[in-house]
Amino acid sequence: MAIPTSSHYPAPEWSAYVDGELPAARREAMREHVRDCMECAAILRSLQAVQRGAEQLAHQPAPARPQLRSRLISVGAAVVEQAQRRQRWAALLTGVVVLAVLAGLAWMVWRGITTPTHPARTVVAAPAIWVSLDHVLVARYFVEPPALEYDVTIRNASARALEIIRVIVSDPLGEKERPVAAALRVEPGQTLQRVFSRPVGEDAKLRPGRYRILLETSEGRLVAEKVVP
Amino acid sequence: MTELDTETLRRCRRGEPAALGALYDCYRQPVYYLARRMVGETEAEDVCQEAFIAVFRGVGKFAGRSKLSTWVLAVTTRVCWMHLRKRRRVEEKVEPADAAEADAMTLLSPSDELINKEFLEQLAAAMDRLPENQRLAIALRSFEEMSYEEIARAMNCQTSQVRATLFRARCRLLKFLKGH
Repeated sequence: MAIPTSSHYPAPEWSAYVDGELPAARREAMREHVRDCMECAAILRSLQAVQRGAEQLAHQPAPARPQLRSRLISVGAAVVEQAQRRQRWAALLTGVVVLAVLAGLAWMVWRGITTPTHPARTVVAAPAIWVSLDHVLVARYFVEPPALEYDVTIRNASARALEIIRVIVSDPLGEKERPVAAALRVEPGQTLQRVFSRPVGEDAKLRPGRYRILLETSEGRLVAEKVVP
Repeated sequence: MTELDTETLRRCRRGEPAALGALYDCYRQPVYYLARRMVGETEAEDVCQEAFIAVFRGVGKFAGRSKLSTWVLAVTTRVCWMHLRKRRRVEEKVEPADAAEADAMTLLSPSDELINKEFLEQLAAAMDRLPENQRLAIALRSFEEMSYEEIARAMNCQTSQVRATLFRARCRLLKFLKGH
């Protein structure tokens, strides 16, 4: 006899029914069905026989092994002690690692508070050091060729000396970003007025546009601009 | 299956020999049965021993999220799997539980359904012929307290998988029994 597949409950359902793993309503419906259905009743009986047989096998007494028992108990006591020791070491190690991580974090936080991360950049934005471009003009002297002059004021109110390494100007008269001077020192608390210049042509005139001076310093870049209308 | 009381379990965690003996006595039967079904009679005792040592080693970490019996059987299951993996026994290929298998499943005649000694012997022999996972599912299900969920936890799979595996196993057992 084969398991019927239509108009009956499927065989896997009966398997779950035997195990009591179906919802109550479903189980009740199947119980009703099996009363009148010989085919499903046969399937159920077979599955129940197999399950009951397996349960009986499981409850057959295991062979008594007194020697195995005593050996296992003595080994077991040692094993438990070893496991406990291992757990204590693991807990200790975890504690040390956690402490080390916390100490590391605390150090990083402390260091982050006391040390500026990017000194060169922060100084440029700080009011302690600033530069202003006061005038731009084309100067003509008797003995020297004409020059485009940048009148600049540099204020160093910080506690450290400011080294000006390079000065670059850009303007509408000539090439852009042309280096014009180097190596200048502004002491702490000093305000320096300085003229930076670059030679221009005989017939050069001040043209409208943006005049820009950039100072590369030991504390970062300083920039000043002036727009000539 | 009887459960160990909490006081004895606490003493087991401290490694007291008497408590460990009580734990052994309490679960010897199911552990041995599971080992017997999974690895055969000759190696069952070794596996049983290994399983209990694993249980003793882990009893301190047992968190009580499941019944102790379920946990002990799960540990035994792992030991059986490891043992079988070592042995690398070639098993039959598991067939899917499709309609064809269900159709082909023959049923026991009413006279066969009587559970007698002969039937049990045939059933035990048939169980030994099952693929490992089906054998394990049937063996775990033989302890009536083990629900699908607990079996799934022990076998490290889904509940739906347990249901399907048990069905396949029973189909096969019926086939073997009929053909005997």
